[in-house]
Amino acid sequence: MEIKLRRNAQIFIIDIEGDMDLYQAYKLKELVAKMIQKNIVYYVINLEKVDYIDSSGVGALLYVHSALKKQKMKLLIANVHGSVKDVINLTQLMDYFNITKDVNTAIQELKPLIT
Amino acid sequence: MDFTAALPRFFAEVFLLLLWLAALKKKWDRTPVFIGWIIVILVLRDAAVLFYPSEYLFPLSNLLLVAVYFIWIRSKTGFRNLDIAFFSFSAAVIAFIVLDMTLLNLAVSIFYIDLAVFAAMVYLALLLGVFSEFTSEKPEIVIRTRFAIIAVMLLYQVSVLLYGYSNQFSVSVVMPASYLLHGYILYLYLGLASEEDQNTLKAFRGDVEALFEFMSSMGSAIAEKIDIPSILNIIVQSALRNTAADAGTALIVDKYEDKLNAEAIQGIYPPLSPVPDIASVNPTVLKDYFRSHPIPIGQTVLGEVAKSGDSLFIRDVISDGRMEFNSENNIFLISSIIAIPLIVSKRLLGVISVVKRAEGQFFSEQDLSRLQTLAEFASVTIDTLYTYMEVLEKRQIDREIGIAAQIQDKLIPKQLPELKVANFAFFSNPARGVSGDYFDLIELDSHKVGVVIGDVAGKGVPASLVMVMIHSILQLILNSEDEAYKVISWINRGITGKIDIDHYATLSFFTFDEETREVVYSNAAHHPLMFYSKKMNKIYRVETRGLPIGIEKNSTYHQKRFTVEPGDLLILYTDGIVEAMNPEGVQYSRKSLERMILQNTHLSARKLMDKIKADLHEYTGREKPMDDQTLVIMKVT
Repeated sequence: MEIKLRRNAQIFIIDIEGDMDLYQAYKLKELVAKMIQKNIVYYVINLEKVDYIDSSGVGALLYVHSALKKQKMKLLIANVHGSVKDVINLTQLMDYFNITKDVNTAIQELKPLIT
Repeated sequence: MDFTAALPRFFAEVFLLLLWLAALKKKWDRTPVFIGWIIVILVLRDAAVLFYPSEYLFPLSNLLLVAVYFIWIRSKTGFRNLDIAFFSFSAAVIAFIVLDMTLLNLAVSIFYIDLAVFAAMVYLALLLGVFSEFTSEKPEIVIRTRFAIIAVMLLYQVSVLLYGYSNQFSVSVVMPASYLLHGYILYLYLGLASEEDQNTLKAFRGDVEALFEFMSSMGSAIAEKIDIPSILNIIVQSALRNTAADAGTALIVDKYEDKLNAEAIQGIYPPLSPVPDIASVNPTVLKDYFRSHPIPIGQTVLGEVAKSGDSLFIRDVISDGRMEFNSENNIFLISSIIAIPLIVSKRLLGVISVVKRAEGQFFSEQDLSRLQTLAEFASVTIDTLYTYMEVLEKRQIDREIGIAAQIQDKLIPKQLPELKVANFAFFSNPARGVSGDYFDLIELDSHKVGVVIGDVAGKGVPASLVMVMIHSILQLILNSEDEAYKVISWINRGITGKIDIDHYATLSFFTFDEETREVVYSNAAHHPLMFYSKKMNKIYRVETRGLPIGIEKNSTYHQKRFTVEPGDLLILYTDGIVEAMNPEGVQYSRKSLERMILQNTHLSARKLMDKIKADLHEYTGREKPMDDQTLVIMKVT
C-alpha cells in the first residue's frame, strides 16, 4: 500500500494505492495522526486505487474518521468502489462514513466550509 | 665549427632527453610537449651546424626557441591579438634580412637578426612579468621558472650580441649552460607532478578515513537505537569534522508538504531568508527558528538544491551575490556554503549542507567531494533505515500475533454441547497463525444455547482482548438477559470506548430454545444468518440492521424471531469462507456455499461440514487462505 499526499488549497487529499490490509493499514493511521498534529482540518481519502480492503483496513478508516471527528476536522472518503464498497456495505458503515463520488465532488463539498 | 666545440652541447642534449623521457611519464600539464619541441630544435640545429656551419642557424633557431616558449606560456593564458602582430612583424623583418643577403654583410645582418630575437625575448620577458596565477591554468610551473627563463634568455642574448657565436666562451660555456634552463623546467615539472600525486593520494586517504570514521560511528549509533534524527546528527557531525565547517544541517523532505525540515543542526546554521527581529536576538533563538521553520522546496539555495537535485557549492558567498541576505557581516553571515541533495534511486530524501561563517574562510573542491561521498553513503543508510523500520513494524505485529494465538486458543469452545433436538459442527482455520474470527457457543441455564460468530478487525493482542471482552460479557449477561438485540447492545456498550475504534467487531448472534425451537437473531454488521427451511426447501438470509461493535456507544440493534423444524439448518460464517479464492483469483462466493448446503440437506451438521470443507479445499487448491475461515452449522433434529 502506497500513500501519497497532495493538496488543493487547505484540503489535503490522501491517495491510497494497493491493498489496505492488516500489515499496511497502520500507515494511514500514522499519517493522519501526524497531520492532526499539524492542525490540518480538511481531508479527502481517495480509494480509487484500492481494490482490496480487509477488516483492519476498515478499522483504519474508522480510526481516522473518529479521530478527526473528535478534533472537529472534516473527512470525506472518495471513490469507494468494487469489493471495498461491498465490505463497507456489509459492515453497515456506508452511512457512517461521509462518502462522496470522487475527489472533485469532495473538494466542492468541502470548499464552502473553509472560512 | 669543430666537433669538440659541439660536444658539451650534445652532452647537455642527452641530459635533457633523459629528463624529458622521465617527465613524459607524468601527466600534469602539457609542458613536456613544448620542451620536446625545444629539444628537437636544439638537436637539429647542433647537427646542422656540424655539416653546414652557417651563422644564420643560431639566431634563427633561437627565435624558434623563443616562439616555443611563447606558445607554452600562451597555452596557459590564451593568445592575444598583439602576439600575432608582434611575431608577424619580427618574422617579416628577419625574412627580409635573410633573403636579401646582398643588402648587408654577414656580420651586420646577423647582428640585426639577433636584435630582432632580443626584441622577441624582451616581449616574452614582459609576458612572463605580468603572468598572473589567477587567470592561468596550472600556473605554478611558469611562476616558479619565469625569473630563470628571463635571466638565462637575456644573459644569453646579451652575450651573443657582445661576443658573437664564434667566441670560445660563448660556444663552450654560455650556449650549453642555456640548455640547462630547459632541464631546470623539466626538473620542476617532475617535482610539481609528484607533489600533486602526493596530494591526491593524501586527499584520497583522507576521504577513505572520513568515510570509515563515519561508517563506524553510524554503526554504533544504529546498534544502540534506530532513531532517524540521531543518525542525522551523526551524519552532520561527521560532515562538520571532515570539511572544517562552522555549522551544518540535514534537512529531510516532509512527507506531507513540499518542505524541508531541519532534522539535525550542528553549530549555528543561520536562516537563509529574513526573520522577524525577535528571532535574531541571540544564537539559540536563531537555531530554534531555523529548526521550526521548514524551507519550501524551491525557495532559498537549499530549496533550490532539493528542487533541482544538483549539488551547490558557493566558494565565496559575499562576492557571489546569490545569497545576499547572508552576505552582510552580522549574525547571518555565511562566507562559504556547500549543499548536497540526498537522493536514492531518483527519490529525494533531503538535503545536507555545511557552511563556513567567517569572512575569508572558504571551502575547497576537496571539501565538496568529501561531502558528496558522505552524502551518498548517508542517503543509502537513511533509506535502508526507513525500510528496516517498516520490517521491524511487521515483526512487531507478528510477535503480538503469537501471544494472541495463545489467548484465542483458550477461548475456543473445547467441546460442543449435545442437544436433544439439534447438533452442531464448526471449524475455524486461521490464515496467519492467529484468527481475527471469533466463535463462541454458550449453554444457558436450562434449555437454551447462545451461538455467536464474529470478526474482530486487526489481529494480535488487542484483537484478542476484544474477543476476551466479548466472551466475558456474554458469559455475564446471557443468564439474565436473553433478548438477542439487547445482548448485542450490552456488548457494544461494554466495549465501545474501551478499545481503539480500529479493533471494531462484527457479530452475528442467535439464541436457540430447545423446548420451543425458537430462534432469536440479532446482527451487528456481520454476514446475515443463513436459514435453510426444509419445508420450503429454500435458504433464507436473516438480517437485522446495526453498526459493528465498538464504534458508537448508542448504536441500536434489532432482532428477528422465528421457529425451526426438524431438518432445518442454521449457518453462520465469516469472510474467509465466501471470499476464499481459487488460483485464478475468483472468490468461492455465497452461491457456492448455498449450493453445497442445498445439495446436502440430508446430512448431519458434521457430515455437511466435512462436505463443505472438502469442496472449499478443492476449490482453492494450493492457494493459502487470505483471511481466517470460520463456519458454524446447527442442524435441527
